[in-house]
Amino acid sequence: MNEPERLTIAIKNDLAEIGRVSRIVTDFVTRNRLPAKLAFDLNLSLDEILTNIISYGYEGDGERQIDIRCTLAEDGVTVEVEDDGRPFNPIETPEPDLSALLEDRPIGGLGVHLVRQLMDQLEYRRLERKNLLIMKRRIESWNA
Amino acid sequence: MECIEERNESVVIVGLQGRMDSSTARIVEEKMLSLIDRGESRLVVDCAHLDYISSAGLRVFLMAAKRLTQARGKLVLSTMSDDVKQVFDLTGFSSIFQICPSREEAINSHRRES
Repeated sequence: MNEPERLTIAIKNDLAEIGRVSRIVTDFVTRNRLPAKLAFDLNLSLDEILTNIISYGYEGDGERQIDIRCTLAEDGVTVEVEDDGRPFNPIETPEPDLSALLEDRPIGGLGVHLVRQLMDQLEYRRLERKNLLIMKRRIESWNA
Repeated sequence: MECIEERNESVVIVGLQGRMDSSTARIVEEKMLSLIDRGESRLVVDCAHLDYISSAGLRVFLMAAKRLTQARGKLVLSTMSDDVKQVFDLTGFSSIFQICPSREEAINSHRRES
């Protein structure tokens, strides 16, 4: 691998777009001969982050654009998500209590937990009027 | 996302097919709630053809299990792929749900308690 492989996807703030993102990311993983399990993990992480942005990130119901960039490099794959919704740092979301009994389990709050488990590194930046989340999965953990 | 309902005596089996994400989990939620509202208390969800689940899907199972517990019923899951099972493992859901390797075992686990 010499030049890093890049993929960019622009979507609308519509939950129905997540299935399309999944197909594009799966194609990217297959085309680059990466493990199928990696596609599942990347898609789940993207799904959770995009669902939060689309469900809670916007005031009003106008159409907005979210940009997704995947970069495959020697040391791993990086996925960036950029949106112009309200400022939100998912990394600050509190961890759920995973030992709670069924009756005490709150409904919700598990999405960001899954992203933390599936990705090796998360970084949030507040840009001028935009949120940027950078998720990285290192090559050593691809088959984990 | 498709939900295929079958009955085996007092047990209702819901076979899931496709992807259970934030845009499709509602389809399963409506199916499960309609079964519970109609008085069904022994439910099996067969995940053999469930390709994918996100936290939006987990939320539906948690909600259905809570409702069934209140109604003295039970939800048993079966035949999960490794990918789907991993999502249950990472969230601690494997320890709060009964997950059987086969549909038959899931159905039988209801019978043992009848």
